[in-house]
Amino acid sequence: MRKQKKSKLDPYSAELERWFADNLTLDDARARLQNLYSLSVSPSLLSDWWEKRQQQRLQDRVLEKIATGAQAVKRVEKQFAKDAPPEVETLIKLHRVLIMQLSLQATANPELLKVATKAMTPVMTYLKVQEQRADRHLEERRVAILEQKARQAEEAEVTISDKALSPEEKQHRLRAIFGMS
Amino acid sequence: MSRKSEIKQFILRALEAADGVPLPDAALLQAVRAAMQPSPPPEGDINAAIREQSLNGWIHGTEDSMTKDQSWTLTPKGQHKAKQL
Repeated sequence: MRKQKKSKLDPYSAELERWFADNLTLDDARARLQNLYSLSVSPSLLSDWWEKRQQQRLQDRVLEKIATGAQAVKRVEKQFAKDAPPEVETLIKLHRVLIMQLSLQATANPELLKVATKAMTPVMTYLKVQEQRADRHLEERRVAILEQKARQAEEAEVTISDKALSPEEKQHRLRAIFGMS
Repeated sequence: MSRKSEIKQFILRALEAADGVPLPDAALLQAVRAAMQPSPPPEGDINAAIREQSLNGWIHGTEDSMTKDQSWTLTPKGQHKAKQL
């Protein structure tokens, strides 16, 4: 919460918020302050303090939503940062606008918060598919390497057991099989 | 504090909360309106405050070449100012 002008009511803010949450009236709150803390305040002072407090809390909630939206944008952009094609970059920009707008409008309409969350779903699905593709590519590459190694071992075995070849020829061929020549 | 100053201050705080992520024009407008319930300022006043903050060098606007949408971030001077609020 930001700095604001000090009030003699500030030390009692937690209690006042609890009282008002329990539906206490301004007059009841004034009476309690007097009884519990011998603190005398005018109705207008308490009313103004409470209004400012509410305004401050509303602003803080909006700022929190901006911060949350910005973090979501950063997370998505970070995930897309590697090799994102230009079309995806355009989508990211549009998505950023969408998330921020929906997050902020959700202050007035909580249903929009669900829409903002749902808006992330296609992006997350896309990322998951990309990840699965990368995993599959790695697996294919691993199999290809194993197959190549098996072929080389087979050829090496044939070369070694070939009695027609001299030791120098065998060595030369083995080097060629394993790509060392 | 005047209503105009309140709007201008909130613009800086909103962009500080965005933490470097460019805030689209429409989102910034919506943020100011949402933060100043129940009587949000007219759109013209908010746009004027945004322009004024830009002219004073607190905020910087960039236009998307494709959508032509304007997005806003704090300038280094604006970041310094926002921390003082």
